[in-house]
Amino acid sequence: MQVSSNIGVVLDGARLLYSDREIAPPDFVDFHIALTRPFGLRRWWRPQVNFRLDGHAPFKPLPLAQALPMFEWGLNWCITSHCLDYLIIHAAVVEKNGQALVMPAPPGSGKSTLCAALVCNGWRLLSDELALLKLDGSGGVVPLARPVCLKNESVSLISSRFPDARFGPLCNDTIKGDVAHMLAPADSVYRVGEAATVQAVIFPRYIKGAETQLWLRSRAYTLLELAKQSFNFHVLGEQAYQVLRGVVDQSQCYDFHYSDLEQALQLFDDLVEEREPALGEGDSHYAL
Amino acid sequence: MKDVAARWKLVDGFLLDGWSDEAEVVAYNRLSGDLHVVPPPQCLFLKHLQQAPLTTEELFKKLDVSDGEAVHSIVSVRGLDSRLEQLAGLGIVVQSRCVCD
Repeated sequence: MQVSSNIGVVLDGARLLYSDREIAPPDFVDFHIALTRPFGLRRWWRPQVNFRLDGHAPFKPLPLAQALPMFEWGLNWCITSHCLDYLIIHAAVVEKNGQALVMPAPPGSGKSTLCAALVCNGWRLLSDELALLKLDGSGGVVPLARPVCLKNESVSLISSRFPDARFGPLCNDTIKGDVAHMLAPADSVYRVGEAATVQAVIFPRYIKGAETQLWLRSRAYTLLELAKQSFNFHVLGEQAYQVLRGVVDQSQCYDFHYSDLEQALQLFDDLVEEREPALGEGDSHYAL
Repeated sequence: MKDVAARWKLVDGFLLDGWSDEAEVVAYNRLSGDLHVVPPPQCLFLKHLQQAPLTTEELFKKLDVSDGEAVHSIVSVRGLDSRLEQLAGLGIVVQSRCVCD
């Protein structure tokens, strides 16, 4: 990726958020990204920022103050739209003891908060947003190790619980609320070339006041939901189906409800440390 | 004597997949990319239709004989027909007239 910008917050923010990355020589670049202020009135009056990939602007401009989140969200779009060598699922992925957990969930489910807490608690970050599943049938998932996007109360929750976590600037009043990006841990960045094997698919959901509960989940419905959360399932055709079939075959599948982060962290550690986690009674139920 | 019977069959391209410890099946269409989860008892219909196209009456007899308790909720050919119509609405089965001996 090559980033050019005349906006200080983008350059400073990118340097901070990707400070553990190597700066590659510009011989070969997948994405030429530019974040620039438009010419004309909008340069000065309620100033805006444009995101461009290879000179094209796929989005409407955003307020200039949201330039850094726009960079991160635009980069997500670059990956989901162009990286067809992988089946891409909207999911967080973390790994510990060689066991990768894929956590698909819609926005607002507490996925990124849980992901941030896990990676601050010794788990390796592969991604908080995009699971890149290999197409070779190995059940492997490839790391991105990019910053974790936290919203609203999650920012103060994670920064107070994990004071060593490093954050980019807080950006208020975006379409997602107030957002800040937590840097990927240095070890996760260092191991970005190291794929992991999916061992579990967990659908997390934060519910205020809820007990920490884990239920076994139907593989069939898990496969369906993974396909729904995929960006390119229909583009890849039967190959994508076989990838999901393989992932679901080799994984334990769960629904997970939580409100207490400490209990959630303990339960996830139990999952990968061969201690039997306490399961909720019965399976989850679904309607056709 | 030839008879023109309306028989149910799986839509072309559908692959049925499942796990031995789960009752429901996944129906994936290789041609269209459509993906469904089909719970019992409808998934049992699909397993029979995978073998050969059947009229509603033929399928009803097969369910009655081989599928026991799983199809207790299907008490009539008419009831079975409405379940098959639901699957047809999802584009998983289709009724076609074929000429048979």
